[in-house]
Amino acid sequence: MKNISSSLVRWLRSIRPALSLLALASSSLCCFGQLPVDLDLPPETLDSGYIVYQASNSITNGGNLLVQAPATVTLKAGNYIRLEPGFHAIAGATFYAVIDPNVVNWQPIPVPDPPAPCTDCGLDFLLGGNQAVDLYAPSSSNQLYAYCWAYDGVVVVVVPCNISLSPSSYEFTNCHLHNDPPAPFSSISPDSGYTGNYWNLAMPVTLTTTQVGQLETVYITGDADYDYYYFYAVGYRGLVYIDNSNVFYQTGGNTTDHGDNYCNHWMTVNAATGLQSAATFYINSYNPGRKICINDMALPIGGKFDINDNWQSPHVSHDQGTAADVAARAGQCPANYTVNLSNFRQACLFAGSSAANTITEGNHVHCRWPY
Amino acid sequence: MQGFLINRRIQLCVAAILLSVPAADFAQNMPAPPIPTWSGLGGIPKGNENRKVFLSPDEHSVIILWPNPDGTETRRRFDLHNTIFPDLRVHMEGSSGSFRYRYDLKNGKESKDSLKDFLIVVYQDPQMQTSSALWKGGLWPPLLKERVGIPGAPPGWIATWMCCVEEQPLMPGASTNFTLITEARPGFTSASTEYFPHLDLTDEWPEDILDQLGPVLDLKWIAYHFITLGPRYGPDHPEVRIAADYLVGIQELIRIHRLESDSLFVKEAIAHLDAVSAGSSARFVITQKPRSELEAEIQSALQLSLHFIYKQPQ
Repeated sequence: MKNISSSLVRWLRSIRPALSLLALASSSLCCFGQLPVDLDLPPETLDSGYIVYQASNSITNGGNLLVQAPATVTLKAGNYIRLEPGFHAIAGATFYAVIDPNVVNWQPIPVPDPPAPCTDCGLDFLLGGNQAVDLYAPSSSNQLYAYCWAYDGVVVVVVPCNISLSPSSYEFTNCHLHNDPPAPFSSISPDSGYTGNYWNLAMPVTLTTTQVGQLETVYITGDADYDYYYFYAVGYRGLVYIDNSNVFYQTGGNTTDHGDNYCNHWMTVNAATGLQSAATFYINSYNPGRKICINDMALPIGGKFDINDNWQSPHVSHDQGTAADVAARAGQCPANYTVNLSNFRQACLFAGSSAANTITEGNHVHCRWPY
Repeated sequence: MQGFLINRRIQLCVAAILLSVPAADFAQNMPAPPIPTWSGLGGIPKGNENRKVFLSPDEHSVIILWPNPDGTETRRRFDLHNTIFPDLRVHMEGSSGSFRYRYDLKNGKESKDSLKDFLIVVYQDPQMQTSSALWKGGLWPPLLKERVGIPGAPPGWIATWMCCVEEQPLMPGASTNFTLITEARPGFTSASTEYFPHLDLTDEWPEDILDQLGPVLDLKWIAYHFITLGPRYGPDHPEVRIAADYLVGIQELIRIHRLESDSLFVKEAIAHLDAVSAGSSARFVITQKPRSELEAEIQSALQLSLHFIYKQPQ
């Protein structure tokens, strides 16, 4: 027994360095990221969602911080919260400032619920409350029928006539705040004919759209009583607006003649769901208490997002609302919100983005999901 | 005499480790190349004249016909950083309805590339605790992922960890570990590891080349996948179905030659699992000694999931 004990002691002594390393390893276990000690909130307008900022020591607003209804914002710090000039909580918003010495362990934030599908959100934004119109996909061919109308003394009826059709576009729609050069618009073929040649007095025509998302019209005139306009839009249905939130900080509005942040943050629900997932994982793992800067996604109904104001690419992959640019360098994005290029790209891949179309573009990661 | 026994036991353990192979991995049975292969020498393989991207015969690089401004093409080779030989072992313990899983991930000495992430598909337990000795990450609900390589297995949440914002990658020859604590009982699941990024894709890459790279960069192909044991069944999952799932997993491991069908341990386990899946509620005793680390892991999992008892013959 004595021999066994002494041999065990000798063996344990011999492996003591290894045991020490094991102890060190087990004491350095980590999971999600650590809570920031001091949190400096960047200028921001918080106008939706439940948003919580946590820091183990202090939270300060470095510039304008606006809390508006219906947002609920909570600041929780271990020692102090300093609200500098520029902080405003507008009546109707809910704002809490909590001192909690036990705020030492970062609580991972949950992945936000996927955005609610909304077929016509982008179109409604484009029309500004006006009557809904048909919408055709960019670069598509669509069969339509042209009629002539006349008053027969009692009611308006369809009549045979020689008809002429002239498409055109409306300037400054879908957040394209530029018109030099003027926007291309859809073509129609044939653009004239006699409707009496068709059994139901409806002349079939093909509307071929361009890659530009915008509001357009066809002016229909003929030798019958009534000339009229047919209004429609070119773009994609189903894009939803991605706001500032627990995980996102919008950037890039007002930089390319395409409106403000309300114009360049539209996505498909599928892409938004993946992006939220990747962003939440990244924040929880590497940047707790902070956010992810999201720049260009798509315009409200998509189509060509021509950052050079020439109705053409680059930026082709932002046409359909399947991609987002995430800042990896400071500039428009607060420095402590930037991401590591490779790691955020990998997070996007885990969250279902397309491996070959999720790339780095200089100062940002471009994550793209299947349409 | 006791001292001799202790030493003898240590020797046996060492021998077992030396004899063992990374039994749970099946990446050696990788699926067919997702795109045509070509060495980059000589002419382009027939029928692929319009293709711009090829996989090298060793599947560790891609050969790309890169367009030049003058309309010509240059053959360029890009390393995929997938020359890795990882090993994964799992140690499972259970007490009071809680199960602890520790995964030891080793990057083989013969690897050329480091490992930068680890992912395992797990049961959807929001209370699961996760930790890592080296990297950051953890449970990632509600993202669902397929259990790769296990026929009929449902998708699960993932726990994943990554280097290298401030952390070090796992260099060839190095090891690390990850721990899960959960109420979920063990079953067959899948895990994966890889180097990333496999290629430094930027907006300078032509769109058609990026599109053709898609199948190669798909994580299901390019990541190194393991079949392993991990949290799969909630506390109320019926034993009949658990046993049926184990049978599917064991048959698949036999099919890909990670288990031997003539192993006495495997034969005994299959017989007992057949009985449980047919509705028997008897408590089964495994008497055959596991011959490999994978068999030992399965034995441990069966003890925890189905209360099998291990009793070595006298």
